[in-house]
Amino acid sequence: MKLDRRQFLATGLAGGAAALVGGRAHAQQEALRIGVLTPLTGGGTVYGTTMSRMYTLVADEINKSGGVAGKQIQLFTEDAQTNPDAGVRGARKLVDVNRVHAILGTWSSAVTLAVAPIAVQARIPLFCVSSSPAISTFKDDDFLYRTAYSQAVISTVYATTAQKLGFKKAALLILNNPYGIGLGDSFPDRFAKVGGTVTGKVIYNPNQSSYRSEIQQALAGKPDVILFGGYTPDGIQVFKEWFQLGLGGTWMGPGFALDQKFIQGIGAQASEGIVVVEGAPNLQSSAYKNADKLYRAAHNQEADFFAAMAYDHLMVVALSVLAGNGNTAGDSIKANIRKISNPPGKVVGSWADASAAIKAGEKVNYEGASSACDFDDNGDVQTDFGVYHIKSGRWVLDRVIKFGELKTT
Amino acid sequence: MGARSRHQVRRAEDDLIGELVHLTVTGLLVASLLALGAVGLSLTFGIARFANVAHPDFMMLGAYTTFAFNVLAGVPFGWAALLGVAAALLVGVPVARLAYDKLPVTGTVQLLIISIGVSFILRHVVLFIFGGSLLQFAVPLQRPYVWGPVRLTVYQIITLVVAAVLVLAVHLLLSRTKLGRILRAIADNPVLCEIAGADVARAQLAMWAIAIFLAATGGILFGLNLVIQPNMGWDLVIPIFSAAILGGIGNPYGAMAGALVIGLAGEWSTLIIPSAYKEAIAFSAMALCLMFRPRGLWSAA
Amino acid sequence: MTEYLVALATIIGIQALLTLGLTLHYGITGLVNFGHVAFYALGAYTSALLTLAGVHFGVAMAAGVVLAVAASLLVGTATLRLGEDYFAILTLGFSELLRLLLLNARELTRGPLGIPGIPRPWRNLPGVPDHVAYLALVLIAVLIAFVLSEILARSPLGRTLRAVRDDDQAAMALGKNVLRFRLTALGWGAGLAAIAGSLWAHYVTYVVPDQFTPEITFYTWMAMIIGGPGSMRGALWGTAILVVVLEGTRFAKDVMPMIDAPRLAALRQIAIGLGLIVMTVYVRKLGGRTRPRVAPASVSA
Repeated sequence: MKLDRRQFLATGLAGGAAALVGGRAHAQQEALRIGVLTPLTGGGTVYGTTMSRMYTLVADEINKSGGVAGKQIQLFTEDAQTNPDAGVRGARKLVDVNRVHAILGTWSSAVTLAVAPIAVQARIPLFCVSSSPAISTFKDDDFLYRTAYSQAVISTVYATTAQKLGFKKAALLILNNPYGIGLGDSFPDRFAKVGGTVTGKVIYNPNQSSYRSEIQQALAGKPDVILFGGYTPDGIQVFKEWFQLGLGGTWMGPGFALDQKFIQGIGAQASEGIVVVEGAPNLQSSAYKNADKLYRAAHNQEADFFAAMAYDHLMVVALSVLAGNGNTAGDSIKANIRKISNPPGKVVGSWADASAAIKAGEKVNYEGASSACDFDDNGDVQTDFGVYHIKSGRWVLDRVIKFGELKTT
Repeated sequence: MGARSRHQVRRAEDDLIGELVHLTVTGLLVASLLALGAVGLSLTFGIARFANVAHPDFMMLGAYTTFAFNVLAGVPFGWAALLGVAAALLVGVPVARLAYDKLPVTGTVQLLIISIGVSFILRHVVLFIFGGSLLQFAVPLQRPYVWGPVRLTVYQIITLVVAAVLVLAVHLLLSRTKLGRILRAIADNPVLCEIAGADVARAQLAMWAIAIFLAATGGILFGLNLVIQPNMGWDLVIPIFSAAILGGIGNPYGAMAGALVIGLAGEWSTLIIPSAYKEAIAFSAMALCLMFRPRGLWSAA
Repeated sequence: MTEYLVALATIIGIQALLTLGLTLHYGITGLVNFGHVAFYALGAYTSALLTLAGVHFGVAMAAGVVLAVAASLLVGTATLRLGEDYFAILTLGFSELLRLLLLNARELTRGPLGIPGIPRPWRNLPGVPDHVAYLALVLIAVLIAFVLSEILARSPLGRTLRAVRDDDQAAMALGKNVLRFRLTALGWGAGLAAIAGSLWAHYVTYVVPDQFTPEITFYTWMAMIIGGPGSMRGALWGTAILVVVLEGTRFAKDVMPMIDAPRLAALRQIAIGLGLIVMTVYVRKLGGRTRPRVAPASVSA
C-alpha cells in the first residue's frame, strides 16, 4: 500500500483550512470577548476548573441583565495545561484568532510569565492568580494584574505564623519551579527577621520515583516545622512517603496544595496536624457573598479563594469596559481598572449595584470577593490570610492574619 | 541547592552511617523496580535484537490495568494485581507481536521507530482513558517496621521479596527448562537455532510473555510504593536501559546486577550531588560502559 | 486572521529548519538521532542569554550554532561507532541530560523560571508590522538553509554520505573515513537545529526547559517521514503538513466540544504514534540500512 503524498497533503490542508475558516466565524460579533486561559489539566486542574466555572457564572449573570453597555460577554477557553508552552500556544490563538479583549485566569507562574509578553504586545490586560515575585516587577506597561499574593508576601505570612505557633527552626522542601524557588528565596530572610533559622532547603523535581532522600534531608537539621512548597499531586506523593518513613515532624504549606483532594489522597491520619496557610477571601464583602451564592447554586460548593479571584477578574474587566462607555480596547480597559476598583468611591460588590452606580455617573470602588482589589502600581493587591490546622480530615480555622498585621519590607 | 544545605548541617558520625544505610535500602528498592524492567528488556534486546524503547511502558500498562480492577471495579488489591498482570499480558503481548514481529520491516531502525510509535500510543491511550492526574491504588497507608536505621513498610518488603523471587524464577527458567535453553540459544545464534529445528516463533512468543509479565509486575509494585501516572514507564527509559546495558545486552543476569548498580549508585550519589541529577548518573554509567566495555561490565572487554 | 496565518507560517518555518537538519542526519547519512531537540535547546538558550546580555542577535545566534555543533561533534565522536540502537538511546539520553542541566543550573539558566523578555530582532521597521518582519527573517533563514542543504545533498560529499548510509563497510573498504563524514553531517544538522532554536527563542520571547522535551524530536521525525526522509523538499512539505494538522486540531475542539483539550492532545499523540509506525513500514523505502538483524554489540565503527 503506497500512500500518495499529494492526497495526504490535500487532506491535511483542507482540514486545516476548514478549521481556520470555522474559527474565523466566531470572532465576528460585536461583543466583549474574554479569553479564559486556565489550567484544565496538569497540576492546576482543580483550580483551573473552579475558575473556569466562575467565569461562566459571572458572564451569564452579566449577560442576563443586558450585558456590558449592550455588549454580550463571549468567553473563549483554552487549556493552559499548567505548562508554559501550551499556555503560549493557547494565548496566541486567543489573541490572533478569537481577538479577545482580555485574558483571564493564568494560574501557574511559569505560564503567566510566558503569556505576559503576548498580552503586552497585543495591548490587552492579563489577570493572573500566580505567586511568583517576578510578576510584580515584570515590564508589562501596566497590562499585567494579579489578585493573588506574591510569594514574597506569603513568606512573611509563613514566618509570622511560624513565630506565633512557636516554631524556631524551619526546613524547606520546595518544588523546582518559579513558585517553589520564589518561596525558597524569600522565606529565609523573613523568618530571620522574627528570630527563626532555616536548617535546610531541599529542592525536588516532580515525577521522581522516590522522595525518601529529599525528605530525609529536610528532616536532617531537626526542624520544628517543614515548609512545603509544592502542588497537590507531588504533595500527595511526598507526604505518603514521609508518613511511611515514620519519622514524625510538623508540616506547613499552602492551601491550594493541601486541599480536600490532598487530604483524600493521603488520608486523615497522615494529614493530621498540618498547618495550612491560604489567602482568605474577603468574606464580609457583598462581592464574596454574591460569588458564593452563584457558585453554591450551580455547583453545591462554597466559593474558595480561587473562585473568588475569578469572580473579581471578570467583574473588574466588565466594570472597566462599562466605565469607558463600552470601549473594549485594551488601553481603555487598562485606564479604567484603578478608577473603578481603587478608592475613593462608592463601595460596590455586585454587578447590579456597580453598573447602576456607574450608569448614574458615580465614582465606584469595587471591593472584591478575594480582596479589596485595590491595585498598586505593580498591579498587585493586598489580601488577608487564614491559618488553618487539618483536624480529622478537615481544615479548622486557627486565626486570620490581616494584611496590615504583616511587617512587610 | 539541596547538596549545599546538606553540608551546612553538621552531623555526627553515626548519623552518616544511618544515612548510608537508609540510602542503601532505598537503592535496593529502586533496583528491584529497575530489575523487573531491565531483565525483560535484556531478554528482548538479545532475542528480538532491537532496542524496544516502549518496554518500560509495559510497566505502566500493568499499573493501570491493576488500577482499573482495584479502584474502578473495587477488587481488593491482591486479586486486582493478579487480574492486572493477566490483563497486561492479554493487551501487551498481541501489541508487541503485531508491532514488532508481524509488520514487514527491513531493518532494525524501523523497529526502533516503531517502538517510539508504540510508546506514544500506549502512553496516550492510557492518558485518554484515565486522564493525566497522579493515581494511587486503594490500599491503606502503612507505618514502617524499624530496625535501627532501616525503615521499611510492608509494601516495600513485598517489593523486595517479589523482585527477588521473580528474578530467581527467571534464573531457574533460563537454566533448567527447555524453553530457557532455547531462549539462550536464540540469543547466541538465531540462525543456527532455526536450522536445528527449534520452534523459534513460539519461543519468541514466550519471550514477550515473560518480559511483559516482569514489566507489569514491576509497574504494579512501583504504583504500590509511589504513584501511577502515564509517563511512569517513559521516565524510566534511561535507568532501565542503563541497567540492561551495564549487564550486557541479552544477559538477564547482568541486567539484575546492572539494576543494583544503577539503583545504589543513584541513591548514594545524593550525598554529593543534588538528587535531581540521579538520572544523570544512570546515563553517564550507560555512556561510559558503552564507550569502554560495550559488552557489559561483566564481560571480557 | 492574517496574524494567525503569519504565526502559523512562522512556526512552520522554524520547525522546517529542524526537519532539514534531521534529514541531513538520517535521510542522507542514516544516523538515528533521537536527541535532536538538544541542539535546538542549545541554540535557543545561548541566543537568549547572550542577547539579554547585550550581544547582537546575529552574533548570539552564531554562538548558539557553534555550541550546538561542538556538542554534536563531542557526542558523535563518543557514540557513533557503537551502532544504531545505542546511538539512538545515547542521543535520547543526552537530550534529556541537557534538559536536566537546564532545569537545575539555576544560576546560569534560571532553571524552571525560564528566561522571559527575550528581545526580538527586526522590530519597528518602517512600514512593516513586527510579526511580518519576523516571518520574513524566518523565511530567509529557511531559504538559505534549504539551498545549502540541497547543494550539500547533491555534492560529492552528499553522495559519500549516502554511500556511508547504505553500506558503511563498502565505504570503508574504499578508503573513506566514515566517522569523519558522519561527524560532518551531524555538525551541519546540529547547526540548523541551533538556528531554529534561536529563532524560536526570539519568537516566543520566553524559553523554559519544559519546551525542550523528546516530543519535539519525534515531531521532527514525523515531519521528516511524512515528507520522505531523503528529500529536502520533502522536509519542507512534511513540516507544513504536520504543523497545519496539529494546529488544525485546536479548532476541532470548537466543533467537537465533547472531547476536552487534553484528550484531544492525547488523540494527536496517538495519531503521531500511529503515523510513525504506518509510514515507517509502508511509505517508501526509508533511507536507512537494509541489513539483516545483527546483535548490536558486534557492529563495527
